Amino acid sequence: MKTLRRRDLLRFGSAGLLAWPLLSSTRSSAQAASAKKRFVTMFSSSGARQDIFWPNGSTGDFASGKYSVDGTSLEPLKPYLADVIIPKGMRIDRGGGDSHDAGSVSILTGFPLKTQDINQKPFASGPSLDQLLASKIGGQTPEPYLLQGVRLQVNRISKFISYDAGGYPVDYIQDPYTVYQRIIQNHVPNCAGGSTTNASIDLMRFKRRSILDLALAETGAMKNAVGMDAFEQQKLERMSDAIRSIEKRLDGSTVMQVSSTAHCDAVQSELAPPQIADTDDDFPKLLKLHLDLMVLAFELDITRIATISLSLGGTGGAPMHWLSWTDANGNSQPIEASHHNVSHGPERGIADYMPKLRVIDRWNFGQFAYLVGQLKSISDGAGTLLDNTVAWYATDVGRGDVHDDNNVPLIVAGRGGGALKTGRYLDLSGANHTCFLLSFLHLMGFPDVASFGASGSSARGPVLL
Amino acid sequence: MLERAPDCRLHVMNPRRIGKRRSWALCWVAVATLGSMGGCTGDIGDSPEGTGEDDGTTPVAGGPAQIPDDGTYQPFLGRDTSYAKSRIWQLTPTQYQAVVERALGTAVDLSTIQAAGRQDDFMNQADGLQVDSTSYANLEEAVQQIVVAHSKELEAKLMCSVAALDPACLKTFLATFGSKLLRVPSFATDRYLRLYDTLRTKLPPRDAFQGVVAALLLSPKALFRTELGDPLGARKGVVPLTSVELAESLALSLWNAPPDDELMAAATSDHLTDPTALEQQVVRMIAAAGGHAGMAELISEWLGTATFSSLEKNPTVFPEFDDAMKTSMWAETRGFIDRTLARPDASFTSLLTSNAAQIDAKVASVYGLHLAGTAASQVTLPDAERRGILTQPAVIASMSEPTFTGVIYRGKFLLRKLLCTELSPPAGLVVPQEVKTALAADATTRVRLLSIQQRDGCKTCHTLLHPMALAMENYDAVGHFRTTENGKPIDPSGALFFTELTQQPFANATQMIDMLAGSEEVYQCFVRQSFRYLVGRREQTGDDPTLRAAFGDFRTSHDMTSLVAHIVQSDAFRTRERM
Repeated sequence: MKTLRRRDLLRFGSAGLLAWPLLSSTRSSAQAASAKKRFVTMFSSSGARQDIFWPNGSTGDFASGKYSVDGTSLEPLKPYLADVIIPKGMRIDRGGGDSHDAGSVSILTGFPLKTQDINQKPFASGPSLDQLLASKIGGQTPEPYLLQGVRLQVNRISKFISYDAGGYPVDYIQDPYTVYQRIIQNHVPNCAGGSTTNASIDLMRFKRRSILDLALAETGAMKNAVGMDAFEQQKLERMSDAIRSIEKRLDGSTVMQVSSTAHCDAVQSELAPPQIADTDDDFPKLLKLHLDLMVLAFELDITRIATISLSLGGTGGAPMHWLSWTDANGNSQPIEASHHNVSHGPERGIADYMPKLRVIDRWNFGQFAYLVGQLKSISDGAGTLLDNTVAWYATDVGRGDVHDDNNVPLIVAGRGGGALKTGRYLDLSGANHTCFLLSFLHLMGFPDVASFGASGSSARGPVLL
Repeated sequence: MLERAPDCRLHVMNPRRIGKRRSWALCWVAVATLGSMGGCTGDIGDSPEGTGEDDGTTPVAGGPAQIPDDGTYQPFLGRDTSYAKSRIWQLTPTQYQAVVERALGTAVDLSTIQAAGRQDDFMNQADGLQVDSTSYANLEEAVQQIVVAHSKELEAKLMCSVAALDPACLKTFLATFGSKLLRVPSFATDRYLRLYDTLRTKLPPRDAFQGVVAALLLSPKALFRTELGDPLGARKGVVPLTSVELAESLALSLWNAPPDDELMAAATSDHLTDPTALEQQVVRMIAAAGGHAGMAELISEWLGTATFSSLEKNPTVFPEFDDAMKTSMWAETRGFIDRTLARPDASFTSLLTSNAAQIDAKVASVYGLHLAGTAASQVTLPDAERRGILTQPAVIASMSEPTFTGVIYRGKFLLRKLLCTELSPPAGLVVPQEVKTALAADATTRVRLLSIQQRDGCKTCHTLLHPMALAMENYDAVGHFRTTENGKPIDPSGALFFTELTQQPFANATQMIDMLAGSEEVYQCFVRQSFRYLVGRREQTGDDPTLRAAFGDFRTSHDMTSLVAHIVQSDAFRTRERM
């Protein structure tokens, strides 16, 4: 297990100090090592229509027939309701600043936005949960984490939801072919059919590692140059971390020989030419490939922590032409704009935005349902991958049109290795999303942590447990 | 509560006084500061009476205390010069590619490290760039491919055959190719010689040689420039950049590319610390082929067009916006920038107002003009519809959304870019439902915006946002001129809220742009923008003397070349504080 070193604390000042109680738990890390638990965040900006989101019926257990999702935008999750928790009344604790920027920064860090200037890093005051978990349990797998984005084409703060210990954004891999080559093939060369011999892989790794060793030595030497203050040294320390992360990837010990799995074969056929174009109109194909790669990485135990972002807030994004809505005359027409723009329909001259949002919301939750279904379809230990996963659908606002922070559609799926009771519709009014982050941290094997984020999951504690 | 670092130098926004005293007080909350974000839970300008910044409040450094009560506009009033601290400054992907191509003598494919998508700020800011695990992995994979793909060119630079590569031959290669790549007269080569030996234990000479080149390309010295200064020249905590550092900064700022041999020679013999020699180099560099490349990049990033090639539009609404059209639009705008910078007066007002265009048939169709053939023709665009670079399709398309005009974004964009006015975002804003439901589906953008503007909590800042944006409603999301929206006539009239010309009315965008092109506030903002690009950081109060001096000339000359030359010879560019 990797823990924060003392100089990290010095380096990151108060942020590091806040994180310290979370990281010093040794008893719980032993627990984490004993179970293969996975953690997934699927993020998409702009919330959901409130009037069609919530289940029919009352809160309670799904098994006792208290609620249904018929006719709601959650209908795509209907086959999995026994595996899902739907929480009502959740607030997103995002502090001040642009709601999309603040929502993106806080959704996984629990900290408010630190700046509004994209050129003034750091944006956050501490690590996001995925990175925190990667630092704690990522060492148990060849890749500490997987971070995927789909067509995030505007560089603004709201693009980033994953943050390192210093609060600096961690960038996505947006090209699914790169995810395959870098994250899968590097560790499981024979997923492609085993044509590469081990000797040539070893030689290639030796060469790349030797080169990176030199880059690391040069980076260390540059840090000691006269006139370099601590702030500038951090720029180089981040480069050193980046080099080390690749070196770890090239560590020969991570090469795994697996017999081809059904999922491996499915992904192979998806990867076969013609290559999916990197365009907005191919968004559904890019997303499906990303999700299939994520599930494959879990199945092969290449990583246990995955984060994927489908859209960034406050900006156009991919116009969802692949979706159709039916107008009053019964004519089916393609949706002309992105989720964000449709959610602001009246201000942007988008007519009939409400029926269009219904289609969009259903599609978004349908993507989460697809992920849940894939996780459920694969055996893992005595159960399925879903049994050993905590996956949540996260967003930055309650309703996209008004940017509010209440009743945020956050959906949780999976039993986290048996620790999480699913099939519930909960009223969690008064809780904020940091209570979820705290719950997830507990579920992932760190139950001693008392609080997460700036404000205080401590108000309600780990509400999911 | 949110805590801010006490050093807010990089957050100081341009203090502008808008309208009368009361509205200024309201707007200061919105316009000026990020420093008090912790309390910022209202929307733009939504401070209730009595709780907002009041007139007697002591503002932060660089804040509105500098604005005299009589409303006269006096920018850059800070008296004391302070210097930015010594730093390292990561090359942008474009600069890195230029460095590699210069050393290699051929084009390389580094598309995987290039920025994609819209960027609203300069991409080269020293504290905005970052090496992270994804970007470095992208680079490492690209470099491994480059050294194999270009092995022929690389081996041609060896004084020996690669099969007979010995330490002396490799040393010579490192001293020439390596120094050029790292932009230094010489560097310690021991580690690279040892790497070759290490690789040779398992690999043939060609692979080992490629490995050494890859290591150079992945070195922090390739990725970063240093601005640490010359310790021997330190006086009272202030150090001048070394000649070599200065040469690199000059080249990357003026050319967006590495130093050439002549500049490197001048740096190596330490000539650039002499102001006269420095001036000679600056004059030579600007006159050289490609001498305006950095300035063209500055203008391109300033106007949000730097990533134009990755811009997408709704193909259902704008089927004509294909790759060929993008190429054609960009050729028009880039050519216009280059020709303007090449004019003897390099006139900023021409940039904003000239309708002398050079366009091909494809982009001509967006203007509603019919041109024959494929070559670009010189035309004068209709004065009634167009004015300078701001109404060119590439610029309009960049400030628009895929389908719609993106009116709020346009308003924010134009305020930021031309008047350096930053509006604080509407945090916690809840748009009342009646705004959404009370409007007819075919209401014009103006009607929709006015319904927002009339609301108490929204008024102050939307009053600022709307006029420029509504004037631009005559241009759709790819830059066609249009006079109707939803079958109703577009009313582009409005008024600009200058400090110097409070509420100056205009009939349409062309009049508005003419007014902007004659405004000292716009000149001053362009001085700020140029400074940010060239120096790689936000200005701070201690930069006021530098900005004031640069503005003193620019306000009458409007000469962008002189402005840039002035800034790169300033103390702010050449000097650092040693922390």
